[in-house]
Amino acid sequence: MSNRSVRTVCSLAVCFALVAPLVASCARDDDAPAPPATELLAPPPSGQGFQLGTPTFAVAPGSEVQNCYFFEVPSDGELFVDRVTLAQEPGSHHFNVFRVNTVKNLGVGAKDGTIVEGGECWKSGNWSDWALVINSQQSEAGNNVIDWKLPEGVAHKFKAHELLMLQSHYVNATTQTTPGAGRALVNFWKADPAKVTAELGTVFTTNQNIKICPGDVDKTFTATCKFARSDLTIVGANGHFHSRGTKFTISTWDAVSGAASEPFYTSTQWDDPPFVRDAHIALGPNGGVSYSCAFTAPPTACANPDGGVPDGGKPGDECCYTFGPHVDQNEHCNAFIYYYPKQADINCF
Amino acid sequence: MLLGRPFARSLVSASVLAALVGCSSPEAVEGRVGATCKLAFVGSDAGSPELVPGVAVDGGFVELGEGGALPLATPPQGGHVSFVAARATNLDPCGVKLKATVRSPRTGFIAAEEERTVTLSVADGGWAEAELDDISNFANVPMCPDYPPNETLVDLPYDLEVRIVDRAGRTAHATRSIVPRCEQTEPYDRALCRCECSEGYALGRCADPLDGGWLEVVDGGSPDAAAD
Repeated sequence: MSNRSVRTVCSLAVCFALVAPLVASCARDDDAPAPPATELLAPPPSGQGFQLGTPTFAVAPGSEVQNCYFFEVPSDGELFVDRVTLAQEPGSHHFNVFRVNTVKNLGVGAKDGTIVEGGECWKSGNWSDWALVINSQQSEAGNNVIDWKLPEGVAHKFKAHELLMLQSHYVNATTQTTPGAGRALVNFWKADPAKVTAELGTVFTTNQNIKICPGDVDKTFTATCKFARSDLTIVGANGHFHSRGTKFTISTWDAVSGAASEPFYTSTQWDDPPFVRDAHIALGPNGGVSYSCAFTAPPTACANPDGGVPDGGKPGDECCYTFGPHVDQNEHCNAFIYYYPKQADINCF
Repeated sequence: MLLGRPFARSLVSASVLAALVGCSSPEAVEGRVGATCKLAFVGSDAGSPELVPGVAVDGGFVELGEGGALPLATPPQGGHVSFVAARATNLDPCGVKLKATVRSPRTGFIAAEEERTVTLSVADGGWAEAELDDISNFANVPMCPDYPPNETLVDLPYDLEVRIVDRAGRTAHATRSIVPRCEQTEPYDRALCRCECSEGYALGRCADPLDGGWLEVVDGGSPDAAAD
């Protein structure tokens, strides 16, 4: 795989579910591995929504593959979506969907039907002001589909031809493996605009300066993100860290007292974190969330056994795990929150 | 120039750091959280824990005084954070919880807050302080962007509350009035900081902060306010 390349996946027209029979093949490379024998995810029936997705791609042993795929929302007008279905072949580390905003070094790929393979797709600063649509980390064989029907009257709202970025990260290395090929698909199901009473809002928040070194036990990082202008309801949440992560919690947080609630989200499984989708948590004006990541690294662990100093580290930190996307060498502490009614597009750093 | 990554790397020679923190024999590492931290108690067990909040300036710990500047720095993925260090005594320096809260004295609302586990290094005079060449040992307060109905964060006074708790629960805290500042030397970086840290932020507002007039803004206003 080239360090950075941009290719055209397929045109919008053939990716749209109105021509659903073509979808399974439109995004494939000639040199890609054969798709799995079973259908990963059928697209919505004609007129009920649309499917976006990656082609099938190889994930070589010892490698990580992270690609950014760009698609326009296939609608000439405003579109509401009240159900999202995501499916991934086993081995996925994450599957994100973002709304494209300020285009930085992903510019060459930021148009309908293109891919940025690796390279700039690893650099999170490139999408620092892109709003989250959804995140999935669920790809366990036999349990690799998330089907989320939003609460009654709640829907994502997309602008006509709004540009989205699908980011897929597969790992076939030490801490995660990919038994076959990689592939990620997402179905967006259209809602009746007349029945939509509230727009879904999302929050992406990440703690960027973390370091876990061999021998650290329950080293914990807690940060806050304030996003409530008025009363709102949190309906979903998931967290993301890597294999040193032992406990991820998310609580509601009050911006006057600084008090955090008992966690409404807890994950102790870094490679199969829960995705809470049935929450009903009230948050008042000037409220937000407090999220916390605890990490432990055995004394014998080493992030960079070849001796490289990690980003943000210093000589002597070769074995420490610092902020970054690579599963075996880096750590994350990211939270994804879903709520209504939407206040604004929110990213907290 | 306050703490930045290039600066951080230059503070202590590699040889000294290698001696302090070696990967080849992690069981012997001092200053780590948890079972491998072997630092001795600092100060007196009979004394009340004391805390001095500070920042790193040119490789040294500088106490944050009343009205002092709290720099806003850019981390890898975006936004702006403030690094708050601590010097403390009369406590166990291993695996302390360091928490920093920035609160508006005008509204009473917390603008940003962060807490993390850090290990302090033994300093002179019975005190311990953050390893100043490693910003992961500072509270990384996620200051900007903040979202409406927020106040501007840059160039206005805020209250900084810092608290430290050691593994036995010994607690110290300190409060200072501080002024968050965008002190970047590059015009683009300084304009981006001012744009993200001014009131009314929305994702995408700072795509081109120089053209947006953010560099010229003074005293916490917006470009429109400056024009007024």
